[in-house]
Amino acid sequence: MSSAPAAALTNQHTRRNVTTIVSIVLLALMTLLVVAPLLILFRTSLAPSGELPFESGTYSPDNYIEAVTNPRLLEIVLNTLQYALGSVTIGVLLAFGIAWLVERTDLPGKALVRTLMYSWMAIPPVVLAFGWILLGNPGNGIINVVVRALFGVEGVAFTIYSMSSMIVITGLAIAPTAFSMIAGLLRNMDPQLESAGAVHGASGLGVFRTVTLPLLVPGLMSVGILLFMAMIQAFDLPLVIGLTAKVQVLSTQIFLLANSDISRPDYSLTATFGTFFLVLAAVLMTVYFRVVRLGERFRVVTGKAFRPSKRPLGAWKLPAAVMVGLYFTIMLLPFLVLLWTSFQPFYAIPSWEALSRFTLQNYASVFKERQITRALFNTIILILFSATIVMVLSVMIAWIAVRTKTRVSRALELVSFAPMAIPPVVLAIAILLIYLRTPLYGTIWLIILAHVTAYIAYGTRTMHAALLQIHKELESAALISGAGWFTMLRRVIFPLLLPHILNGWLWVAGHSARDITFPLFLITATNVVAASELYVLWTTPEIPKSSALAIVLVAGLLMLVVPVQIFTSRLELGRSSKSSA
Amino acid sequence: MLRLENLNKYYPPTGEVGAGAMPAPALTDVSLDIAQGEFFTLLGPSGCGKTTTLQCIAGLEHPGTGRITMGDRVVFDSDPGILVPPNKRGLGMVFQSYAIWPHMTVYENVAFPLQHGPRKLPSSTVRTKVQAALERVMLQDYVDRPAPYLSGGQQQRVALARALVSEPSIILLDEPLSNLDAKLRDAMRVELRDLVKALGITTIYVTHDQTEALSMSDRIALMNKGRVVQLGTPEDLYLRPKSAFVAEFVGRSNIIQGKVEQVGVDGRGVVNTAFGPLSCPLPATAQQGQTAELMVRPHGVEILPAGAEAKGANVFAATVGRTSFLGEFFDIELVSADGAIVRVFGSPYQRHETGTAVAFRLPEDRCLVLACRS
Ligand SMILES: Nc1ncnc2c1ncn2[C@@H]1O[C@H](COP(=O)(O)OP(=O)(O)O)[C@@H](O)[C@H]1O
Ligand SMILES: [Mg+2]
Repeated sequence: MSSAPAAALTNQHTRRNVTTIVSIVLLALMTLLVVAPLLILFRTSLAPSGELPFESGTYSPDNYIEAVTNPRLLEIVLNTLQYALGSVTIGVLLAFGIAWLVERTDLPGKALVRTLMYSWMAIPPVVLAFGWILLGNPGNGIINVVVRALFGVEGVAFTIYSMSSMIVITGLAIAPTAFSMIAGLLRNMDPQLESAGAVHGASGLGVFRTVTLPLLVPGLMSVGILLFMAMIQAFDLPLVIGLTAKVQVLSTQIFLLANSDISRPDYSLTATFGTFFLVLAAVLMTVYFRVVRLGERFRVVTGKAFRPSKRPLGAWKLPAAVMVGLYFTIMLLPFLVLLWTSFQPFYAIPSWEALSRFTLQNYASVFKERQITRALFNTIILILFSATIVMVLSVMIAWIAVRTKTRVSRALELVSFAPMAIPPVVLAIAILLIYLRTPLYGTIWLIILAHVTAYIAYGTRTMHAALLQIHKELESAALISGAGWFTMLRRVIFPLLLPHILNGWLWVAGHSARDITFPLFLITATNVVAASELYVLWTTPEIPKSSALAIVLVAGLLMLVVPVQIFTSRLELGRSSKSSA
Repeated sequence: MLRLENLNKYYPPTGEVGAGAMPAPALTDVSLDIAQGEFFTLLGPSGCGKTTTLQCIAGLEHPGTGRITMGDRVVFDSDPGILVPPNKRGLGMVFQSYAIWPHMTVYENVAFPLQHGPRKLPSSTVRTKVQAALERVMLQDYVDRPAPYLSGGQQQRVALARALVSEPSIILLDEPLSNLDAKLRDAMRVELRDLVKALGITTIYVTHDQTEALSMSDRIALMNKGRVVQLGTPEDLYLRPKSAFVAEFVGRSNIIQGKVEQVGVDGRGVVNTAFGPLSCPLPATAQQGQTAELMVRPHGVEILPAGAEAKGANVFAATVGRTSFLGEFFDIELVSADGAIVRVFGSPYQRHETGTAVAFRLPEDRCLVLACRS
């Protein structure tokens, strides 16, 4: 680096130039994708109400004054915080309990629990929410009907349409994600640390309290904050449940402003709320990094494969297994209800009489009606393209960030990580504002672009972590052996990264399929996808058809996720820890 | 064969830690001239720049200034701007982590340089060459084993086979034995040296272990803080260190401070030490009244038989201090009347009880003056 002339004539030089050019191009692209929408958003928030950013020449703080003086703002912010805090607490506690049982005790059926948890992540939360609505709506929800019949009471025993139900359902839904993170924490904790506590006289509970828990706290905190951030930004469950319950959070409020039934959408006020939301998310992001850095001081996660000691449960074995089983039963209920409904001509409580009306008509419609087949086709395009583009960009960006230490690479890293702090609804509004008047609007490509922007942060993070684990000497060894740059990439880096690339691809594909934020904000007649069609059918309401589509979507996702997951875990198992060098 | 001329290297500052502050140079004026077929060792404490030097030779890092020549080919020169990339240098290298590719079998690892190197060989030739390389390291029975199922010692052998398979004229070894257990390390020292010597390959060997360096090398360059502090044969470094750093890094030593009392005509003189007047060879520049720094190896000190009187040239009286039995020798501390300590490695068959009075001799030709300062 210090000797510019030294590089003048050689391959090395051209190679370095290639990476420089590639990183500048990537930086420009990421800036266009991430930074430009936010600038437009900010500009719009300063425009007079009812004007679009490109048409307006005036700047005014009116929207901010209106938003701040609106008494609803505080209420909405408090709702958002309550919703996020409540659901994350439930999710993390549940996940910690199950993860602890699976990783650190002799609970039977661990493999099954793990597989169920990982597959569960493939199921879109909206689908769960629809199932819960069928179970728990105050009118003909199954729970209410059963309770009325059993106890002979009148009225509503339980309603899904309340803040607390929404919190509980979200908590149940995020437990699998929390489980995957917390199980990793528990697995990577050196059991010798606990043994040391026991040898020096602490009792079982004492060790848990004085050693295990304090060591886990930083990790649990960072899992909690990460999920908290995600829940602050969550849109799907608050939309499906909260709208009827009349509990609004920031994301749904922004949706309502942008999709007003009564008046023309007020984009400038929407943008103002979006800016507030963005600031809130950015603050949380900073807190998250503080906590993560704090956690690094403990560095319990050494990456070595330990064999943690398994505590015998003894008499607690049966109750523990029953509790875990109960959780899965509860998780399965909404899904079963949807399955039942998808075979019915109209929604009905399960009964022998209803069973006689069994029909496949809904599935026939799903595969025949033009609108729905188009949605399915669009979904396939969406998943394939957004997941592939995200992973290709992520590998390149992570590569540059890890192996070249220039200012461009650092900027690239920062810009590609920023979407983590941008709530999807805010990004959706910003993208809508930019592309409303372009030919891209109304096409599936605009949703692909939005998803690439939204998920690039995840992609680069995971590829970054994966590349860090590939010892640089593995690359050097290929170069020394006489291999050129591309041979090295093809024969060493790509095969080593493959399991991580596949996992990342799956994650993006799954999230792209389940997301309703961007499809609903950017919806037109032509770019409808399965998730948005699901919502449209549900609100129409065509409950049985919507249920059938939900089942088809989930089945499709499971068929994609499960085999690839099995394949990648085989791949990783084949290269056990020993020689990753 | 391999010449390094005035290599200098800075790493750019890393991360947040001390950003802004310029870190110390990783290499300062490193010049070496290594002969064809020589077993040459870079020795030094961790962080002294051994790996950096090796990576500059390999082309994985680039010096800021300097020149590197292999045979008559200049592979790096900062001045006219020549830089041959690593894959065009035709080297073999064993990495500290071994860098065995975990997604390949033993065969695929070893065959890689032949299949992807500059000369693409027909697969029948590749097969025979890989077979030969694996036989050389005694791994012929592991051809199809996936790399993750190898022990540390086997991985080290695969790395060695991969480095040798394309018959390079220079091989670079970065602490290849440091991840092995002590027994295996002892055996591999001899085996490794015999192997490269038999093939006549010029070897650059990096280690922080002085025993390895002394036992294997033709010549050693001892490095400290990015500089070569002494260059010579193992005997040179052990018996004639030029500084206290070298003396203490290569083997154990007693450093004794004293004052030059008398400078003789024959290059000898007398230095006044805490034990008494000591006659020893003096450098030509020494002057009376200067402070002298002397070095004696613990093996060089002689404990006189019990009852011998503390009389005669370079013989002093002391009490036996702390002792410890190490099997191969007794590690004994001798304490003079005013508390100065000399460490002696005595015969394991001769026990000295703590507290007894003994006489010891510092033979004149085993006392080495490292420095004289006024
Ligand atoms: N990639 C790098 N970036 C920055 N500093 C480095 C890098 N590699 C080595 N150094 C620094 O250069 C010095 C020499 O390192 P190295 O050559 O690896 O030492 P050795 O191999 O002798 O232990 C050390 O101070 C080390 O911290
Ligand atoms: Mg090193």
